[in-house]
Amino acid sequence: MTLAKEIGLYIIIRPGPYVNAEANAGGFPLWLTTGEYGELRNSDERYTEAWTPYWEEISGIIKPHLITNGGNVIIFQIENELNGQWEDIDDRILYPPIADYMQLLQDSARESGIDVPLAHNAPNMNGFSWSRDFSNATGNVDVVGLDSYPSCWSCNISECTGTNGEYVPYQTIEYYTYFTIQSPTQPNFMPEFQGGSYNPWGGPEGGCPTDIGVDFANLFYRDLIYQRVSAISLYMLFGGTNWGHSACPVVASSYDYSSPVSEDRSLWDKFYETKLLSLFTRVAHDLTHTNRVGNGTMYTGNKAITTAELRNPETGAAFYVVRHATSSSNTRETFRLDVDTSEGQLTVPQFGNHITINGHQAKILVTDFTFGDKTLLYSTAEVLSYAIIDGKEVLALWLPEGESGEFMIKGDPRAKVLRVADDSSVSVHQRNDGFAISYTQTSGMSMIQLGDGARILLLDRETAYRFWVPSLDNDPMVPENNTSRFYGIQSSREEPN
Amino acid sequence: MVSNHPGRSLTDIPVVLVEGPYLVRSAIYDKKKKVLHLTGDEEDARTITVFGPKNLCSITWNGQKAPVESHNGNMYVVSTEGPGEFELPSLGRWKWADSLPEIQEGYKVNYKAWVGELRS
Repeated sequence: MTLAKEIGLYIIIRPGPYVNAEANAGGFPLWLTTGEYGELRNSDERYTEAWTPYWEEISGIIKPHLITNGGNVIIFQIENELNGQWEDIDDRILYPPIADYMQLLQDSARESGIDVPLAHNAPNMNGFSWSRDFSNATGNVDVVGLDSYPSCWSCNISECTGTNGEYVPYQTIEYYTYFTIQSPTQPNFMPEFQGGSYNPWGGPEGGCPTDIGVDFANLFYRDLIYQRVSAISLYMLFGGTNWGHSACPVVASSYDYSSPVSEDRSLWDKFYETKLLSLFTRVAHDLTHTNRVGNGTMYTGNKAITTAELRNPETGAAFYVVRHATSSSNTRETFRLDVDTSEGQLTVPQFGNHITINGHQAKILVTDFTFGDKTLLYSTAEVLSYAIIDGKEVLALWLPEGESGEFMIKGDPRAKVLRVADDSSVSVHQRNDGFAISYTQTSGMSMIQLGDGARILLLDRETAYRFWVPSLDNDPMVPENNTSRFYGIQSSREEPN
Repeated sequence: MVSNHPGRSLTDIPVVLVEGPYLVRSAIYDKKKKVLHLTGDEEDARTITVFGPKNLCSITWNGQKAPVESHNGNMYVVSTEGPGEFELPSLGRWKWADSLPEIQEGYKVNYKAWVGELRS
């Protein structure tokens, strides 16, 4: 926890007492598994007496690191993937052995001084457990999320058909409706979303990175945003090695997981692809509070493309997530997008060539995206990041090489285009209070210089992969300087339901 | 760093932008000496582009001064060195114990040697 704080990371802590994680006995000490403590993971007194000393001790260790005490632990997870609140879901008939167990864990944590939100991670969309929106029953936590591995958590895909159905490469799963039933006032939260897959005994040498590589990261993480997910923890971002006997027999020593950071700590294109999106979400402040005001194929003239419109009700900024209507499709599609902006309805691009979705890809296109003093009225290129250096904006957009992009900047009469690096493929459409630029993305990085000193960088994917925005301090909330914002979580613990 | 442009209220965001390296690990700005210290990993010597405070005296990469190839306002193009040379030590002599007699040819199963499972 101390090391994470030094390098500028927040923590969601998951002390169990059962954690699974392909770990030896799921994290339990082996003496617990003799049968003397009952079936475990329920309100049996023998089991309760066994976990209590551990739980009190670990809570005491964690307490000074809580964000409420100036530390970096923001959420404390109770148990792991434990359905079973209900004997009967429809009639809300409680199942006390598990409901009481979940309540005992929470009460004990609270008594030990854990006052950050308590969370849980549902294993599937069948249990409807632990949510304050779904019931007032025993065992509810503050925020309950959903774990999902649409391309299977294992290289042996038969392990997942029970949860996911028949395996189809690049086929996404729909969670939006489930969240509206299970947890409508809580963030759509994925405590574990697929970062890769473990390689079981007898699995292929080198794991199974094929369907869960670069394209998977591009499509599936954006598809979560399509479904208004606003909190994602990747399992795994880095898996590493199961040293000694830390693993349970389902896996061997390698926990490489084909995750974005490999077992030997090397980076590959899946890391860089994931970084493109996470750099964007870091600066897309308005994305933290949106309603999904529409979704479907009516946003473009191309029926093969579906769009989700997420809109911030306070600022009016919107995020249009576009992907194939059939998620597993890899065709090359082109289209223009109908958007609602602060200057009315537009069809973009207005001047240049169409938007492209080529292969297993999705895009998040912004309208009314503010950066510094300026506003991107719209952009058909994805925003990578922006900074304000010496009082001037530097905005970075990216596109696959050869694709076309167009953006319009409004709100600053001094924002005249001064210089465009090399580029004959760039057209400038100047207005009274801003300008639009349409272009074709070349290889590398080109720069547009504005009259007021601001700069716009246009990068192709390979160049964007090597683009970094290191912070000059260790505040994980960079660039936001406000105190942390957690919609609906911090306050819900205090309010009676 | 607050903007010193009259009439503009833009507050700087405490980041720099770096394009080029395999991995950028950290950035520290020594305001007094106007030096930007970057650390990271690189596979080869290369030039990288840095967007940072416009009046930097120098930029370092992994503790070494990175020569400035060009400087245009807040944009710097600097040269970085590739990874250093090193020699792997030779690892030997190995000691090992064969823990899998079962896979040896000629292994014979002797059921008497196995203790039955007493409880599930």
